[in-house]
Amino acid sequence: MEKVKSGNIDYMTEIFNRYNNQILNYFFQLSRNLEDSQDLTQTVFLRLLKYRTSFNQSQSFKSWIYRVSKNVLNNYYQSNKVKSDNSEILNQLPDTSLSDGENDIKLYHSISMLSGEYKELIVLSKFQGLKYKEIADMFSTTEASIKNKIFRALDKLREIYFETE
Amino acid sequence: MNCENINILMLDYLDNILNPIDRTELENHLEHCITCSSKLKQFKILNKLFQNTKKVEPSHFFKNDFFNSLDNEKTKESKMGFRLDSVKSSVKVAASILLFVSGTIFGLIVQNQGISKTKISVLENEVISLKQQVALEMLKEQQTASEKLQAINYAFEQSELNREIALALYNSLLSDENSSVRLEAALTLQRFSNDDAIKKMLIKSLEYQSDPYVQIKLIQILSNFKGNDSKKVLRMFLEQENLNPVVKDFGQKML
Repeated sequence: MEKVKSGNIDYMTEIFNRYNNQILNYFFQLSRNLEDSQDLTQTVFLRLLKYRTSFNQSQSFKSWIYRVSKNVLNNYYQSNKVKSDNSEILNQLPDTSLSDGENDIKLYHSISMLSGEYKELIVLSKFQGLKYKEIADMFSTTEASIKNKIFRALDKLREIYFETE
Repeated sequence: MNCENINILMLDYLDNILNPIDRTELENHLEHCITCSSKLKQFKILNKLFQNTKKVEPSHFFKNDFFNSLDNEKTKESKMGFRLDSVKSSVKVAASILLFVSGTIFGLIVQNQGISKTKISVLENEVISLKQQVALEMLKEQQTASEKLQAINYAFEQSELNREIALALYNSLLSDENSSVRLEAALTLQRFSNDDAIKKMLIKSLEYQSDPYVQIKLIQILSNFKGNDSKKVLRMFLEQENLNPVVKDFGQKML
């Protein structure tokens, strides 16, 4: 990223190749909409390019890219909440490119019943495999506090998942 | 150790990073605590599910789309660096004036200084016109999707839609690369569809859409319009052979 920051935009291709799949899946795991997730992923990388000078070498690049993604997702939620009065219809549309196993469906259904923050913490730590320190940096908090929250999120998910059995 | 203390250790245990002393404590506790041992079993099942969850793959066009956008950004940066800065500054200036004028109106109302209603109404019109100017700048092509969405929000909040903004929204609805932007542009135009020209824009835009979500929203909008024009366009649109079956089914039900 330092190379991109100093003006060598071609390195952005390398960053994109390395992270695009992870970021796409982060959006998909939270929104369950593949097309929107692709658009949001593109927005993230173009935003990284645009704000490359604000990247600080002392922070982890991974925390930074996920923080940018988190902001992009918040904007998406806000704009959809304000005017998508037909969101129910849109959510009913099956995504034909997917064929989730039954377990996946049940798991995602249980995750969807969690609060926004818990949902995000589960996705970041369990699906995306981010370290507690990286998540703590993203949320500008301590590692101990984020660990505690992740445990509570996981415990809540456990209750929901096994309650519906 | 009580169950609460054991709970705190469970996360590290599941991650396999628990130190040997705590590990022994936990395992001793689990031997005679059914609640904690069944909880841990359930956590282990969830962990396995997390690992086995299917990942999605981007479409074939996804990478190409991004590399094209990257090329555009590069060209823009080299050729239009100055212009980009000036666009940004004009938005900033308009936004600052907007804040100042809104503040002045609020101050006048709060202080009740006997200012005539006409003057307040002139200032209010200034605010509307500046908001529209900000929206118009942000709808231009070199802005990011989130800036365009913000601009569309500005437009949505207006009581009337200036013709220039209506055209900028129509342009976004037809050709913006981001489907969220296209969808929001359609929803905002719908709000002003009492205006015949805007209604025509919405009707015309259907044939340009390839995203099923935008298609569904437009079908819904068009099916609420009175008159035969929209129904005719809708029927023709639904006759396409390669149309997504869910969209086709939805359209036929709406008709």
